[in-house]
Amino acid sequence: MLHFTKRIKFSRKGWLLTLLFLLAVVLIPVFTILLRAFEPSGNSWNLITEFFLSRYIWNSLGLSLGVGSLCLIFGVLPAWLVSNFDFPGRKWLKLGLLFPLSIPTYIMAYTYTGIFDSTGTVQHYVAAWFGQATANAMYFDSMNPYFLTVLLAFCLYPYVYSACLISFSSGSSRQLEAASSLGSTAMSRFFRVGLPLAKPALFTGLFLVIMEVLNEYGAVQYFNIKTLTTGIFTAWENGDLNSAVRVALILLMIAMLFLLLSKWLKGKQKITTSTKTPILRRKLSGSKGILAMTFCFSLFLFSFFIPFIQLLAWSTIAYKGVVLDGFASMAGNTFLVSVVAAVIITMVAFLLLFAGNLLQSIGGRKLAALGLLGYSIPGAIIAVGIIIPFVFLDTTFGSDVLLGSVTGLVIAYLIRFLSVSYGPLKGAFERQGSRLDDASLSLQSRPVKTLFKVHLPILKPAFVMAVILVFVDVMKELPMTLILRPMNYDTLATEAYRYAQTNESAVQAAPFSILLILIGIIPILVLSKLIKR
Amino acid sequence: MILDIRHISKSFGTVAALSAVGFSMSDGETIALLGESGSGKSTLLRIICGLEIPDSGEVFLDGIKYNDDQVFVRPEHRNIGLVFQDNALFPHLSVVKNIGFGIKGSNKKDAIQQMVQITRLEGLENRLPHELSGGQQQRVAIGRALATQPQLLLMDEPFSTLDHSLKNEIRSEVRRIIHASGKPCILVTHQIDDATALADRIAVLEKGKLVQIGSSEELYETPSSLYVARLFGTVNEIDGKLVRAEHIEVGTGEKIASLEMQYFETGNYVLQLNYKGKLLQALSQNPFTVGEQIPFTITKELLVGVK
Repeated sequence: MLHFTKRIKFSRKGWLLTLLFLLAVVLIPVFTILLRAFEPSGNSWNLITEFFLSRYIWNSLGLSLGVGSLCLIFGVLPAWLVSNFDFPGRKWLKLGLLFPLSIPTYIMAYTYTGIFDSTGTVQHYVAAWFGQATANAMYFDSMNPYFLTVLLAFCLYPYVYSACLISFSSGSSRQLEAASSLGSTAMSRFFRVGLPLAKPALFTGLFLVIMEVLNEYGAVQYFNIKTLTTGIFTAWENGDLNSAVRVALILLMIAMLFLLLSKWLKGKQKITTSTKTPILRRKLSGSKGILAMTFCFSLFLFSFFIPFIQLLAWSTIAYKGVVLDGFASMAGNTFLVSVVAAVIITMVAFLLLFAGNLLQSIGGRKLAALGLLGYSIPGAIIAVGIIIPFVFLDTTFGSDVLLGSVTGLVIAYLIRFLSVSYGPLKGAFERQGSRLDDASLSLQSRPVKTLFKVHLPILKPAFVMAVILVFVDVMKELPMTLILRPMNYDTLATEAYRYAQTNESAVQAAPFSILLILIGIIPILVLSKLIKR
Repeated sequence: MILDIRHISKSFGTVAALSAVGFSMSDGETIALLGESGSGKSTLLRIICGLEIPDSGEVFLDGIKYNDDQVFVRPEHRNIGLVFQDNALFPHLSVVKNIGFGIKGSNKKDAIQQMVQITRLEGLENRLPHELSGGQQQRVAIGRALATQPQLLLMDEPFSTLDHSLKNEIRSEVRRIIHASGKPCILVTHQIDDATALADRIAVLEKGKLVQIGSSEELYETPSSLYVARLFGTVNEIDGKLVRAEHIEVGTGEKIASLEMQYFETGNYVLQLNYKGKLLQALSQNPFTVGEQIPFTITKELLVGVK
């Protein structure tokens, strides 16, 4: 018995060290920025504070709030309609409304500006049908911040939509039924029950949207809107790392402010009701059914169908030239780094989860949760935050392992996307409960053996799902990849962005974009299965 | 008749949840729907309430048709109170706001106060559901359902989440509240003691079919099937006769069985006897020794399926 207890204690020390090491890696960028931000600065920082900083801040906040507000409308309303009512096309639209999640924001941006520009699709057809004079009169200058706000909302509303969909269709279905039996109308059920009970899910989705907007680089740069993220890039490209770090610190503070705000808004109410019995949907007939279908279909049309078809059309024009131009090697690069990163990140997430669970009596779960902060840290901050210590390490050891190869990039992906893989693993792990650990320990099995012999085989489906989700996120990632990729190393995302930026032609970027979107649809299909469950 | 259900059938995919179920109930009556898990009890309750649409059959409430092939009255227009298995309280609303959720009109405050008194929730009015005990939550759910003055009260497994000691207390409370309200009530349960304690009549469902309906005495004395008979406890088969454990008198008689094991339970020793190679269960006020040869007699034979 004494021997058994000693073994557990020893093993706990080992797991605690593992947990602390992982936390140290994840928190590297935060520590770096905090340490470096207070070093003396040069003139360029004075220039930034005098001429740019307030614009960076207001643009970042304005975009975040604007996109967030639009996402509430685009996300909540269709989620309520498809989960509570039956109308023509409901089943397809329920899935289709998740598809815009597969379109990276920068691709959405250049596709729509391409559609509306002076030689774009709209002008072409208006001129052909109604004459050039009408086309000129109808010209819409899409390069403005309001249009960018709408485009970002098109890409990001599925975060709110999917969270609300789960809440409306299963999380609060019993309460919605109870409201029905108490004589409540559909409108009253929405405002008095559905919406208040969806609050935690809704604010989680909204927080993710705001984090994505703060992290946004490709689209805002394309629209030439100066935000904190573009500010970090500008300072870094000018070789002024200190200013980049200071702008990153401001961005980090804003991100943390939104994190705290979302936690406060979510409130303390505990909603644990969930049921396997789906809610009985009401049939919307006549004009109400058509109205519901029109709203949902229009959203699908503008946020996915039109840009997708446009990209497909451009791809048929551009694919020959692009395919010859190293398309296969870039796709291979992207696939390889995404797979490697996804597997490593998911394994680390698994270790973090297991260690946190094993050490829960000494606050292990809270420590593990700290490791997930990376998702609240915009990519540009992570990139800047790890460059400094990695340059130091590479210089000290006379190697280029960290920044001369994809190692640094994979570590950055790890910091940013750890929580993406942690989520599904945690869900599956909690469904098992701690009984398996207790049973295994009572059979004198060490935690490592329990991890590999018990948990891993049972968690295989969740593990695969986590790998897929991270894979797609890594594949689409832009700001960190742009900063940390080794020389002459391109991915589909960076290449799509480069073509759109440098050649001023969205057409050549289209084949890369289509491939990214098609791969991006994979986790959406996985997610839709989860929602069905 | 306050409620009349005719030939209700419902399938989920290829699984028949209900097959031509029908019965009626009078005003002020309490009926228990009794059956094992998956017997269709909750589905029937949801159909009566309008939360599920039957494949066929009709539901009448106070003479008005609520369901058939053409008609479907929505739950919000049925005036039927439903207490859910997990209570389904609104977690963001206080006790009084939960109770007052469905009340309309100017006397809302009085109606809430009256229901708070009936359900004995005074002093807890402003608490949120997660700040209440299981029993208190249950009373809020019942109060909320009764507050709208429904024509009929439905309760889905109201005691399934309560532990044994609390359950007895809550069951008495529920009985008192139902009687005080004077409302007819349908209670879904898989526990015979809940059904006998609360219901005037018990409707037994087996694999989606209504196999018997009657008072608890009728079901005990003249069960329509072995399934119904066994709801009330062990039924032994002795020399071709069906005998309840309580109808075996041990200590006297010509039949001899050997004692395999015994345990004490609520005032009696439960004896496991071996009689001609078959295990029997009998009750005794006094203990015996394991292995002892015990004489016994049958005091009453159980007749199954005989009207």
